[in-house]
Amino acid sequence: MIKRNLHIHIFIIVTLIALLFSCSTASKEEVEKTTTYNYSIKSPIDQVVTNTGILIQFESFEEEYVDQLEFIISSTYGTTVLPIEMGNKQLKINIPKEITQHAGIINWKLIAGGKTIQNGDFKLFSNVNALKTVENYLGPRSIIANNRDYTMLVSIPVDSLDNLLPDGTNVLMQHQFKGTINKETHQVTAGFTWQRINSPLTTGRLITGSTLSNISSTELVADVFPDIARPFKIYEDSNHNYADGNEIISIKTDQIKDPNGNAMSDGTIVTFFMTDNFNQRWTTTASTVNGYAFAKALHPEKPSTWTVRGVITGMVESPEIDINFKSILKEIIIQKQERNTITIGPLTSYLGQTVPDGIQVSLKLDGKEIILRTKKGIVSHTYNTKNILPGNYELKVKSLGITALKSIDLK
Amino acid sequence: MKKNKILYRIFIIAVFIFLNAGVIYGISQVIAYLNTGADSSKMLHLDVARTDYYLPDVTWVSIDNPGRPMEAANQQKIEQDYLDAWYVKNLALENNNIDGIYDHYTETARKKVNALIEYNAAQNISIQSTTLSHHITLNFYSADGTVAVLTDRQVTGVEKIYKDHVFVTQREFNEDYRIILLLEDGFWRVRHFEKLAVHQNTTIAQIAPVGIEQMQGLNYYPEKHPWDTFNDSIKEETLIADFKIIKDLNLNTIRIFIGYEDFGKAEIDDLKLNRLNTLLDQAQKADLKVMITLFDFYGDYDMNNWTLTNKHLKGIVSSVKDHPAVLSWDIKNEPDLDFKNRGKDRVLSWLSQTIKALKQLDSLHPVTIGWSSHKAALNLKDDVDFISYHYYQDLEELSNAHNALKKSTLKPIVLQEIGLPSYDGFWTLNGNDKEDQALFYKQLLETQKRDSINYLFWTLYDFDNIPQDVAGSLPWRKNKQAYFGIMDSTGIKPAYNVIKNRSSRLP
Repeated sequence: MIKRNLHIHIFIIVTLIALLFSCSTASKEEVEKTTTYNYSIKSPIDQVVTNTGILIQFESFEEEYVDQLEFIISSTYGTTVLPIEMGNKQLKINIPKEITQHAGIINWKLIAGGKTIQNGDFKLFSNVNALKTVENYLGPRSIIANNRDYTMLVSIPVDSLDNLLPDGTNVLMQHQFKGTINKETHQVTAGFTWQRINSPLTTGRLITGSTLSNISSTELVADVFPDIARPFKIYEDSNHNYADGNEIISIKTDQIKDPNGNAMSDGTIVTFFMTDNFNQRWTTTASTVNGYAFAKALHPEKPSTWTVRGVITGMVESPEIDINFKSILKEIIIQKQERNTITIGPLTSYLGQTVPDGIQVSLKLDGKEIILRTKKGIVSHTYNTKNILPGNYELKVKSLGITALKSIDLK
Repeated sequence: MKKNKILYRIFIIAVFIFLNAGVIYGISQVIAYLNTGADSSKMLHLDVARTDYYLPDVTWVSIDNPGRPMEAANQQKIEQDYLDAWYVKNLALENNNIDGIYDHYTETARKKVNALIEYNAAQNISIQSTTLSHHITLNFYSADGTVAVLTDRQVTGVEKIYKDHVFVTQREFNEDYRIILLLEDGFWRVRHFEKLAVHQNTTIAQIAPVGIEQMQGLNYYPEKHPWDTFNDSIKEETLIADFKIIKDLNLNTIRIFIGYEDFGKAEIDDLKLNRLNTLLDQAQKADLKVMITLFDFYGDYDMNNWTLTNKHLKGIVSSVKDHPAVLSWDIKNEPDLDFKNRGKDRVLSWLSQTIKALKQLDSLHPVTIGWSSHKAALNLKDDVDFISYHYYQDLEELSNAHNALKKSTLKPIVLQEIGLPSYDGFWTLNGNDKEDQALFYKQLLETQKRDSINYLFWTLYDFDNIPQDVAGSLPWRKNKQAYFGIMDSTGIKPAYNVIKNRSSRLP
């Protein structure tokens, strides 16, 4: 109980101290002023944008509370507070060019002593008598020569202060293709106008431009590219059809065109897939020039038949052609054996001339094969009896697809 | 002597090794530092996740246009870049700093924005602003996808205008705009902006009535998880049992708290929302009404976050507003305590706009603000549907305080929090025991009956673990918070019976 009393005493002392403090900081009651403000401005009328600002005059004012006035103005790009100036016994507000240059609704509010006493809005129109340019946007910039594709021209004309022009303004939209000029007048809606330009059926460059009274756009260009190629044919072209491993064969396409007769764009890649009768496969590629593509390949060394097909990936392929290569060699001459040296040749070609240097000749003896290359039509090889036991052997010689057998004695 | 020599050797070698290790470590750090930074895989900023910073309510009215069909991905990109254009302009007008304008306005449009900002900077004018809703119609989208023309109608928002750092006025707007955007450097940049029309602000002035005649109830937290009602370890059975206790006390209302961060800020956490629905379902079964206090532990109020809090609000309100257990919305618990730190003006602005946003989402349930004392209770009295205040002062004065409020408003008044901790421990000079608490309730209920006060007392249980961010770490504060219950872990306290056997029982 005593403890509790002590607590109460402490509490009372603390309360008294607190009271003392609170008395010393007695709050000041604010005296409410009931001022009536006698201000009114002449609201600006709807007008054309200007870069010189707009002056607002007061219809009525009193000099007493001028410092309590605030003029808030809000345009498209944001809000600001304007100073109220006293000059020549006239109270006025100058709306700066930062606000008056931009078309759109402007709303304003006159505040006195924290209370709105007048507000309103007015409209700024774009200046159709002072135009700056027509901004054109064209895209896609590359289109295909067919009936489905198109490009789109968007024109945004602006006045000298970069404001959108009103709905109904006529813009002359033009495009030119291979000398043919197309003109159409379109009306501005929502600040812009647009036109869909269908693709011509021939390749080339489509040039566009727009004009509006004395102002014009820059020139914008779209390229018209050929459509998907039609199937094409391929041909072979070679000096002869002997499998000499030396001559070069050309594989050509005819002119590759789209359905509308436009040659493929230069640089279109044609891939030639080749298979021979030994089921070996390989490819070579060529890019087109004026629709034609040429690929080259080395003749094979042995008689064979190639099957060739030209493909433009993802688009089209040619029918297959077959190419036959004949052997250039009728027989393999195996010369007289001198000791253990065997000489083969001279190997002769289809005119009796020696075969080109470097032709492969395979010698197979006792299950071991060695590969030699001709020089002046001849190869020779000396068997070493340290490696192979002397005796009679069957020698198998193969070259350019021809095989010859001969019995030889190694000593 | 010899021993010393060996020691010296060991020492010198050890120092040598240590120094070398230090040098090698130093060099490796330099090399590591020089190898950080530019990483070619990050050149396109593809890995930079977009965070939530500006999420006004956007409605696409239409994307039908004569140019080209709009793809969902591009629509989203246009929306983001267009909103960013507003956001950077808002920031620029607030700070008079043109950072960010470059990315979102084309060269000519940039000049216009910059000119105004320069003008404002010269006049020392700063404008804090945010938009809150947009209704976008796509007028045109060009075939190559580089020109888009939008009309954005009923762009609502708020501006606060400061001159020489002094608040001048607040402007709420509702305006229509035309925007032409161009795709440049991967950004949709504003080429043209034009204000087309100005509308009157729409406000819902109608007052939503409180759905029950006499509110008698309590502030509810589960016993094991105070200030964390939607903790995942709380089972449905706990809620059923607790609600049965509350119903047995013949009460009809509970007040619950939804944490702003707990529910995922702008992007509402579905799991938490499910738990909220479970709680409401159980309250409905127990025939209890629920007053939902929003934005618990939110304390920023900055205008730059308004779009985020509105998104949070929409996420919660639109998903539970049709639940029959919902009685009313309490925007925030004791916001007047933030007046000092955040500024009264800033807090009130946020509360006022949040009420407006809530009214647009749900005009049926009444809205209140849980002021921390009767002195603060008349703030925004015209905005709320009923007035709520908390009372932790001398009980003798309650009647006077309440009747004074009654005289200042015609709106219903709710004593939203009142209670007494039964804590008489080391940290209190003159604490109250359980009997004092019972006496307190007896007296309270007498006053309540006489003045027919709507009340929600604090609270059902004593709590063992008070979170740090509720009462801080000071033990005399923390302990006080722990003993406000009318029940504790051992069972009921005397106050329980006082409430149960009160004469002002509900019919």
